[in-house]
Amino acid sequence: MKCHYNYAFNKAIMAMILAIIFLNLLYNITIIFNLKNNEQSYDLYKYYFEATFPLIIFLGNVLIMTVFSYSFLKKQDQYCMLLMTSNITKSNIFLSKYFTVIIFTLLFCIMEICGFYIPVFVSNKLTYVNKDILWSFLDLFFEMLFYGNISLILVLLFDNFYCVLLPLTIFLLSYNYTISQGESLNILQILVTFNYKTWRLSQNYGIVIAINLMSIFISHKNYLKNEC
Amino acid sequence: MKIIEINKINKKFGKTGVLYDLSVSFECGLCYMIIGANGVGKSTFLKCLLGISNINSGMIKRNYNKLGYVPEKIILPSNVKVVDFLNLLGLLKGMTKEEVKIKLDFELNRWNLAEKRNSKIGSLSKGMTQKIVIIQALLNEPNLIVFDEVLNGLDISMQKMLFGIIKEMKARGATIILTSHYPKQYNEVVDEVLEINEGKIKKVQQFNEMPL
Repeated sequence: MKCHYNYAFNKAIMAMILAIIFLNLLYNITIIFNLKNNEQSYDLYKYYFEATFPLIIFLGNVLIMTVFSYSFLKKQDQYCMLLMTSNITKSNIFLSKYFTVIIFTLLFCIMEICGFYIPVFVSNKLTYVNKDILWSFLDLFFEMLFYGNISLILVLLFDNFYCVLLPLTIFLLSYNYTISQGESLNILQILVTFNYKTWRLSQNYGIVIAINLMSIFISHKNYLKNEC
Repeated sequence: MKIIEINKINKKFGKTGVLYDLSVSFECGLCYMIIGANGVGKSTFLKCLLGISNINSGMIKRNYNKLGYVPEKIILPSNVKVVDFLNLLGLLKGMTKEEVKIKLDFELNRWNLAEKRNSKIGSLSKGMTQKIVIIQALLNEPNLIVFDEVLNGLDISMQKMLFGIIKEMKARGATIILTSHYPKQYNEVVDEVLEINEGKIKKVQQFNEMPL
């Protein structure tokens, strides 16, 4: 995993990630200090959440699609030859690399939760942790995995970074539809999107996990089939 | 004793065939050179032989337990220290921390890289990076080592040292398989020359039959 981490998350990517989190934090601070105090506590949370969460979703998904695609490009994966001649199977290389990216995704979500709540407590306008919002972040994690997995399948099929444009377009269309219509865009019940009315995902966890597991299975098969 | 036996392997990329019913075996303690024109499948053959590439049909019997491989082209992690990278690969090869440390100190000194042990790989020259790739292949004292165009980027003194290492390895019974477009550079170490042509492999009898 250390090896994968060093390859996939170079200085440029780490700088980009830190910049994203920092800018997001600044945005959240701006929003919370502009909230009016005379609202009910719950409504304040609602306004704050609805003003900040779409940006978190947007940045998170774009970032994860980029990380998934970049990490599994053949050029970035050449060292697998050295690992394979060091008694590591190709299947284990894939799984450990995938696991590294998942941990990264999880860490990103945790940092975003901190970025969401730090302004809340610093401003003293809200003084409790809203559990619904924590669930929303878990949903964000699954949504990120969904789009990351689509990017991964395409990158393993075509070995081209620009493949990320397809899931990005699907994401932006559903994102735009959800924001403008206030409800999720469901195509054949397989598109995982966030619903801003309910603050939750369009699908239940069972379906989302099944779709993600199927994607991992397809990616694993393609990875084994591909040449180093 | 045969360290690798290859029996009628076929390899295709899509509909394009690269290797056809190729059969060959490699003996312990000998140094083999694979030659052939550009694109005939020398690197592909080596990758199939090592199990890095899948074959479409045929059988490969491998009798080695420790393997070293120097690929023709590889991108190493630029932001990792030399010592960390080699440590990691040594441990993955099943060596203990102590074994890795002793062998690493020896190899870094031998290849004039001791001063660079804490440098980031990205800051090294092409030749130094090639030395790192060679060191990782030598770490666990393999009984089969495969060099794909290994002299790329090495200066004359380092090339001579590599030939010395090849001789040492042969003396302890290890098998060396290498490829090059300039076979005569290796005439002091190579025992047998094999040529890949039109997907088949054949033995070249004498060095003067070779192109350079």
